[in-house]
Amino acid sequence: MASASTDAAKVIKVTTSDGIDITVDRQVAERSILIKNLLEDLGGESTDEPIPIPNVNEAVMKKVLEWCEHHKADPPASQDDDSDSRKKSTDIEEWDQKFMQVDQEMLFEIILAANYLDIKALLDVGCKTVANMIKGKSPDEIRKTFNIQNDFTPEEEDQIRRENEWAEDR
Amino acid sequence: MAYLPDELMHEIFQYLECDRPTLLAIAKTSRRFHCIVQPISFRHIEFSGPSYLRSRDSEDYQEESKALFDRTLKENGWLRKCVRSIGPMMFNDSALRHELQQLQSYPKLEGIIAKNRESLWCPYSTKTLNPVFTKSPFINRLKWMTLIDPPEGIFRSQLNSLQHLRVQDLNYAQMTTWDQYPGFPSITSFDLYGVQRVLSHTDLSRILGLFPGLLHLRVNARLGVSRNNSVRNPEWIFEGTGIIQALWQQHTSLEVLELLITKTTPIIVNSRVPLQFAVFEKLKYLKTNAMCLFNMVEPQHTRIDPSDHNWEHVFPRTLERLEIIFPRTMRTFYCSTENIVSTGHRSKVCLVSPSQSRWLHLFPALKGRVLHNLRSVCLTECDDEQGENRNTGESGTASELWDPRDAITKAYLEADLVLSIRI
Repeated sequence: MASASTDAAKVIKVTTSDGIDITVDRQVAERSILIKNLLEDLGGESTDEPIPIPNVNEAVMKKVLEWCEHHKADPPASQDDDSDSRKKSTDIEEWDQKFMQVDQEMLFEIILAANYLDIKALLDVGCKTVANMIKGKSPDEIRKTFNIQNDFTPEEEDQIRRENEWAEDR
Repeated sequence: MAYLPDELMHEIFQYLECDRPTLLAIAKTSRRFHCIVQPISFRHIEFSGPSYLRSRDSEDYQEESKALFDRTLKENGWLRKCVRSIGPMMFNDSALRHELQQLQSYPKLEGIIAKNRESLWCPYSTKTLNPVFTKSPFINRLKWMTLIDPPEGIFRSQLNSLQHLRVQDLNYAQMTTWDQYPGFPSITSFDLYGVQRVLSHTDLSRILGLFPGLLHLRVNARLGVSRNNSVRNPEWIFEGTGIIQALWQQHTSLEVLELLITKTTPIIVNSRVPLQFAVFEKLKYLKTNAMCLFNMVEPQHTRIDPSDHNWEHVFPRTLERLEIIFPRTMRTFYCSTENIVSTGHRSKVCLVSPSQSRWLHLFPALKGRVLHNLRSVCLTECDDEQGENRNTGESGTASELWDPRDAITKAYLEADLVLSIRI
């Protein structure tokens, strides 16, 4: 019984939304809390059965697993939130920065996948990357980035200007 | 185009919670984004005048900004629930009770910035805080506080929930009996930004004695010992060993240390060795001036040559990130500023010469030998050697990356060490 963990298969299979099976080290896949919990529920037995991941396609899954592979030895996230929450940093480590140099479509897909698969550290990196993209942009530039329309009435625009007037450079 | 749901957009916007201009821009894009970002943009309220006037003289503008903020709250009462920090509060004598009541009305308030006003002091003694202030119920919720030009009594009061204290423009002159004060065991993070006089290492030791549980310490002040008593031409000696001892005596378990010495002119650097930071056996992040490590100080140019010193005693083995601030006047990273000035554009400029940039190899070499945890080295050049703007806490004025010569790039790559140079 003590050897249960060593008996557990070293590799597992996942099936992506487009029906592709991907074989991956169990340790790598377990960066995803969703997959980890699923594997635990299965009790380490029927791991020949591929695990269905219906929300993530092959291209995105491969990218996500590449990240998990690089970060497989990371210590678990520490909870020591700086008491001064104002210091929330958008610094991203070098490897992750390069990893996130993908087109915007892929970037958003990675964020969605990280959220679904419950990989907190990857979600953080993705969100920081988008935050850095927005930083310093004008409303118009932000609209272009996210492909959204200005749906304010002139009255609403005036209202927003008014409620933020205390913070504007006058 | 992939569509990110509201909760993920919220997650993203949170990273910008202190970036006021960007938050405003997001609010102006569309109804949906406005809804998502509005609670975030009311988390940290900082009253400030126009950016070109952000100094101690801009108090009128701060008052105006505060009045406009009050108007917004009157019209959108629910925004009160979003506020986590607010300031600078002026605490005018006549309105102290009223202002404290207002602070009480922010249910999630955990930080304030307070500027000294006599109303904060006890009416009968400058040595204790006004009980009207200390007895306000919200005081016990505060996790962090920034005090600008604080009254002495702050160090006597029992602020048990505080974890982070930042003090700016400390008037040390009135504080002579600190050793007798109870101190703040709950504070793990302390920033000392600017003192209205030159601090000796004994002074520093006295101040830090109030905070026995520190993990993070940032000091940005003039440190030195007076060599003569001349009022007209005082001379100051920088006593590195004394400073390290003052810090180390009480704070062996520091994880984050910023030691930025504001230059006192003229200052004499006494020692011929770098400061021995290795005594902090748990230190992960260190930021300091080139003066503390290489003796680089103007007008003296007696630098320490990195090759003839035992650097293993300088940096602790636990170090992960190192940041060094260089004075701009020394032109450490280039020989000429001409092309920067003439074009106004910062293009790549090579380091002066391979022989002069040899010392840059120090860090990859050290990583191989002892500093196995070291991940990044950041070298920043600044006008005033402080590397920090006192008002905003932002680092450096420039932020561009300069690629040093290939041999250096290669050495850092091989050591898996990130080198960034900001000039």
